[in-house]
Amino acid sequence: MFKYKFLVLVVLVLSLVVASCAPAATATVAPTTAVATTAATEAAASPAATSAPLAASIVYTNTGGDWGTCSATAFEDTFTKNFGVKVIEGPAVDDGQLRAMVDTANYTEDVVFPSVGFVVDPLGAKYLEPIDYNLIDKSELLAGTYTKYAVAQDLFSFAFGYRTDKGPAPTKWEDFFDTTNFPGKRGLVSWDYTTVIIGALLADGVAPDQLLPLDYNRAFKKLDTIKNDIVWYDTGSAGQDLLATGEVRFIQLYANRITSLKESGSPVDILWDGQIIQADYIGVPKGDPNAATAMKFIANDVSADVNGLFTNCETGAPSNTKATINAEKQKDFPTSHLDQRYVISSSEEIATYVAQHADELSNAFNEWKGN
Amino acid sequence: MSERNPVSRFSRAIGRTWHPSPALLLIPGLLVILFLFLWPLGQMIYFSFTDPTVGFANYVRFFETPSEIRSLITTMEVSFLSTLICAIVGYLYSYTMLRSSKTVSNLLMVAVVLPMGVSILVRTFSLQAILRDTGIINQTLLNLGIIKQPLPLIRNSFAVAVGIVSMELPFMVLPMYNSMVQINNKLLLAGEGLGATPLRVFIDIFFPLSLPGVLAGSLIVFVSSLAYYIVPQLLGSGGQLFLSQDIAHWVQDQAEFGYGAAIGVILLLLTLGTLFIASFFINIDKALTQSTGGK
Repeated sequence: MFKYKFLVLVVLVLSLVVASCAPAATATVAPTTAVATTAATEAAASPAATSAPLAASIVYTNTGGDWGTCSATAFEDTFTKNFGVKVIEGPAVDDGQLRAMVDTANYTEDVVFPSVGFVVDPLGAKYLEPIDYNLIDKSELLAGTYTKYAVAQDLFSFAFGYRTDKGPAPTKWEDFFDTTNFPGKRGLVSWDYTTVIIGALLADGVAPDQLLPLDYNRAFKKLDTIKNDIVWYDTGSAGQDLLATGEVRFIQLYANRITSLKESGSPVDILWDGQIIQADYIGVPKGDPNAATAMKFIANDVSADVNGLFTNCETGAPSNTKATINAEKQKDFPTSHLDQRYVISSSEEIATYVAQHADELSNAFNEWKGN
Repeated sequence: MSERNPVSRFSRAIGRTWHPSPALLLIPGLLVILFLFLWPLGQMIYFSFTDPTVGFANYVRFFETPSEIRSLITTMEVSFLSTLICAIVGYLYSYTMLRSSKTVSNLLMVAVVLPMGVSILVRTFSLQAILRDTGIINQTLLNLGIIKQPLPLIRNSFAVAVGIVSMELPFMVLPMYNSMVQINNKLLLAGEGLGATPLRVFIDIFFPLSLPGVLAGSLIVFVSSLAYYIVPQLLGSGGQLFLSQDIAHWVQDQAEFGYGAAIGVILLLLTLGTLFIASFFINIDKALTQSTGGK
């Protein structure tokens, strides 16, 4: 009996030791293979881009719901029709999973939606393939919707949503911070500190082109004036719920969620002043063996014929200025209201600044939020 | 050794006696624990010491950040508060169960155990619908004119405590009821016979004898609530975070595995530390079996 228990113990300890050594082994192996493949693809890209064989299928992130069905008809079906490559839908990949995918060279998705911090250096260089701009006509894209490592598939924005049944309607973005004339709770997004900080700075009188460097202390001082009325929401649908039930009077929320509530008859309305437009960036994980085909998918997505197709079923803005769009829904596009104050927070300048100061900004935000 | 014994036939074939130990049956289970629990745990502990730099950097960072210390304190404070409330509510509930008829007692047991079959996510969402400003409680009170403004029942520690107590009550009631049921009624009668008032009987005889169950239940509830994620996420304010929410933030939103892993290790040590200290006062084995009703 003694021998068996001892054996079992030895096996357990050995495995713990092996487990600790294993990540070191894979971590050192992965970067070297990734560098090798990018060198090979870059060499092959210029002369042999069009003649490289297409993969049989690629995996594209599709998180379902109404947007998912729309996305499937607009982007996936057109790609399969034009190139004959099957598109498999994959689940959402968050930043942690993207990092893990590249670090372990285990690619579960070919086209992913990286967050803004990953689309510029230094993280972009480590985790995303540079976009093949030989396949994309940059001149057609709206300024601030593409970077070296990612392109905007579509644009969305955070706008000022408000209840029409709780008192007079606001007329400008500053009213969000005016609790004397507009008492009531305000909803703010809990994870996107860039949007919250930029919103506060705009309301404090900073011009959209004077935002950098982001003076977050000034932003927090402004936010302190409504501190007791803030309700933080953790997902877009939670925010939509807050507005739909009337739990909050004002909210800084995705514009398409506000407009869809309005259309379904809820007593809400939207104010476009001070909207913060962001790109739904798509990119390819670094070292992906299907990178060439994935690049074609991305090029297809932002081409003038395809980019506007999703507006037939969902509200958003195409990143391609020449895209054909659904005229009926045009009034709800963020890009139809560029005559009012707006900021494109996913532009290369702001994104690079945020990426370089990510730790400082998120720590400061968490500190202030926790008080 | 008879001819019908296959072991003996095999043993004779290989020329020596071999009696396989029943301990070998543990191997499949151990392998499962090894690959699905110990290996990932080992990797995360490894990450906490090596990502992004080798050493204690992540731990130093945790203890130097005021908001993280606040999360640690919040986790312990709210868990302690919830355990206290759960103990009081649980004690009243168990005592009621003890002193009712068999049918009522069974009904009460079912009432407290059955909700465990419903997903904790669903239950927390329904608590949200009850406690929020536009929820049942506030809307009823507002419509009746009893209050003018909605009561702050959600997005604070109160709501988190309500959530934790609601989820943890079965784990408190079961060990308490178990120990109460084992108290010999004759002891209480003896007390009365010697002239003690009902209150004295309770304080001097009943309560001390029920204490092991109270401590066992409180330990289980406290240690469980340290790790809660869904309840503080849905019912708490965005500012006062539990350690589990912290970990989710650093791993999912910021992709900082090493730091998140370090916070996880700290939470693990907190839990193990609590169990270790408690082991001096309570018999842990007995506590665990009692909380599952001996099953």
